[in-house]
Amino acid sequence: MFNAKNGFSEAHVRGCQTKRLTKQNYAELSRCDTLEDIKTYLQTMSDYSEYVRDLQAPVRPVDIIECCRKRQIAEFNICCQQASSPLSNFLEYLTYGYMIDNLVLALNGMLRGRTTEAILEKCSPIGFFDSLSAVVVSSSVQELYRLALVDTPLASYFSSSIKAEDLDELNIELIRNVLYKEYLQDFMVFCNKMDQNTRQLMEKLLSMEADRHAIRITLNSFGTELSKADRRNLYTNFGTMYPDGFARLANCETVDEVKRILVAYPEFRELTKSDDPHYIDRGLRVLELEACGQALDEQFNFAIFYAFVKFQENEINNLMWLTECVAQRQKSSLGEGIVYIQ
Amino acid sequence: MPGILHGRSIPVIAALWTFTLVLLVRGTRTEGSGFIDWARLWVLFTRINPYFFSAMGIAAAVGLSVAGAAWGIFITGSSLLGAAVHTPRITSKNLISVIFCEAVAIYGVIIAIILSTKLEYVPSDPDTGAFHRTTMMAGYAVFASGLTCGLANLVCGICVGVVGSSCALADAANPTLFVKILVIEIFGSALGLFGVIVAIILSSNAVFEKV
Amino acid sequence: MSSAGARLNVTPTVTTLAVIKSRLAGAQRGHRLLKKKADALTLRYRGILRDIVEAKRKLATSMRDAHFAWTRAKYAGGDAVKHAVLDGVDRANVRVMAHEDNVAGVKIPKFTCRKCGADERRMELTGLARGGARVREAKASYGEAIGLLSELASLQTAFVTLDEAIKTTNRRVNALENYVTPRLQNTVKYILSELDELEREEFFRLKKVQAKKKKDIEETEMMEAEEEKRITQAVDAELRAFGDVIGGEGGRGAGGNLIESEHDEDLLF
Repeated sequence: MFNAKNGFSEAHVRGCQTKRLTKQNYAELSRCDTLEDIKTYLQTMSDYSEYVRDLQAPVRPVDIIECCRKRQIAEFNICCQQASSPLSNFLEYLTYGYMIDNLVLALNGMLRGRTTEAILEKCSPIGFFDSLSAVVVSSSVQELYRLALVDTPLASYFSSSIKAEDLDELNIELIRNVLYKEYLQDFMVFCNKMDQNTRQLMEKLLSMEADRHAIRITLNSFGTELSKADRRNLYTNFGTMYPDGFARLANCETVDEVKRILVAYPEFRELTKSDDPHYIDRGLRVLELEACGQALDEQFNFAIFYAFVKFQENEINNLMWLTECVAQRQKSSLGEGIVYIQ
Repeated sequence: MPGILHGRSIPVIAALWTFTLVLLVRGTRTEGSGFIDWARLWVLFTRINPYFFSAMGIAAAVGLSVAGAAWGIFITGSSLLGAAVHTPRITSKNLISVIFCEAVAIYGVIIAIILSTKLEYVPSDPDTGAFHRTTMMAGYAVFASGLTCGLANLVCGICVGVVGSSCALADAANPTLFVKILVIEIFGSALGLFGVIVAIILSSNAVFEKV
Repeated sequence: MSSAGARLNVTPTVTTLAVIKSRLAGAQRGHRLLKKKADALTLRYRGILRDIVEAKRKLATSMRDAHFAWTRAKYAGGDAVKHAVLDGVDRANVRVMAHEDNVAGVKIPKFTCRKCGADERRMELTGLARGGARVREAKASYGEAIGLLSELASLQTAFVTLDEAIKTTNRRVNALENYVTPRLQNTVKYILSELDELEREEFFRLKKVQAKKKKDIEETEMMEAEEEKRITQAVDAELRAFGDVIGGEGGRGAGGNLIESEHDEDLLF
């Protein structure tokens, strides 16, 4: 039943997943001393060969990351092309996150008076939508909504949550996070309409993502002028820590307070062991990947596509870290950035 | 498949089940005035032509088996194709999974042939139009054996298909897993064989003979 | 170097001597002062050199840390944060102010960083959900690096300026020491020797004159004596002749007395 429509895509995704860089790959890449070495390694030993092959001699970290993005997009596009109704909807939901990023990028560019081309160049092709260029010419929230967003899926998130009259930087960051919250909630509703497997797995993954979102916002808002009510507003209405955990997070002032809240949740207890405030961020990443890895263990569900996209993101991040470390001769810090699940 | 048993359908199924039970109990307790008239129902079953049952049995045997096999091949095949995009080496090995599914259809065909050889013309009683008890029994036996084989092979085909698709994916990820999953697949395809054996035993009692 | 005999082309008079002597004194005082200035500058120069080395070392680590902090931010926040930060900049947050510092009369430019406080809280919500803390860290460490950078810049400029100033001063010191002063000294010496020479010449001439005068005086005295003798003899002869011839020739006897008186005063002075 599942396979009739989605078996091919699923198997394809799994095929791509097996070509991810492994622990051994990372170990060997860590031994590279120059970016050229990395390029050669990627070309000969990994699935990136056709993407990095044409890189010109002075290799920059940006170039390698660009190649990874190309591969990610190619893989994702194959999935989209093969997908039919429920899966294609699901994949569209996956792109909304990127769409929000693009929208915010365009808004930022608009405020700074950048040209349309310059803005569109920076946008991620995964989250591209036709009216993106219209965002640039709009000047107020109403106009933005009317010109650019009304035809996009973001419209419903936008109209239900944004009431701000003027656009400035603070508002844009808030818009991004409010949109993201609405998106997660909508995605959750969508996943609840799916079959049993998908629903269970996605519930877990999205709860994790919601918790992660909330914890990160809390940690990142220390020392800023974001009020507690605003902060509370950015939390989703579901998640492992919902509702009392979020309510307590909203009143946190220091990292230690956050830790005290997290200790109560067995899945996050591990995060509170280190004194480094950034350990939580990294730990959340690891937890998310672990959950995604578990989703990949199951067959016949949509969560594997979600997990797949997360793994792609993670790999790009890892390579970014790796290349930057090598380029800046900071190999001693290599370990802290590379996250992988075997 | 497991979708039927998800959270929201369980109360519905439970309610239906209780309702049916109440119906049955009330039906048997009050003779004639219950919801179900069992006597009439009994007449209905005794009067149906045994050849109808035989034919239904044969049809079920081959039809359900082929449906199961096709389903299995579909599941296996789509996964196999997808996985083969990245690892072409798995295609020839994983044909075994497809062949296992195919075997399920062959079981159905075999049973259908065995059952159809049992069929012989037996005239009904010219006065009442009823058939002899042994003939009736043979008709039901053929029906039951066909249905047994068909349902068993249907489920077996799906089972082999699911395991086969996992086998293809696992093989693509890690070649050493192939044999291990193949063993499981063999156990799965043995299920169909159980149905076949029971069907043969059932049908061996069925004899259409003139009395 | 100036040759031992080099001197100014002057007329050796007492007035010139006084002028040159005052110039020499000026040159020596200038030399002393310049020497002090050069020492002060060199001291400062050495200090700056030490500071530069230290600042460079600090800047290297600071820049590296800043870059790495940015990498961390990118890692935590992904591409979105990068673009948000890049797009979020429209005017400089940190201004560099230049003012002057005075070391022994040399003006040294000095740069200081000043943060425009109004923009302090602008970007603080960037990356709220992803890597905001990291972005702030990166911002802080870049701010630190900029401070160091401007410090290094003012040190480097001071270094170059001081270098130039020290070179000029040293050149002046050397010129005074090895060229101007010896020349003046030589000139003084020359004038003095020239004056001495003149004095000696005069003395000698005076002496000569004196000698001549003496000789003249002696000669005159001798001639007078001879004349007297001759006159005496002539008188004697006359007297004798007169004694012979009395009367007729009395007039001549008077004429002989006049010549005698004419020889009396024959002095040069």
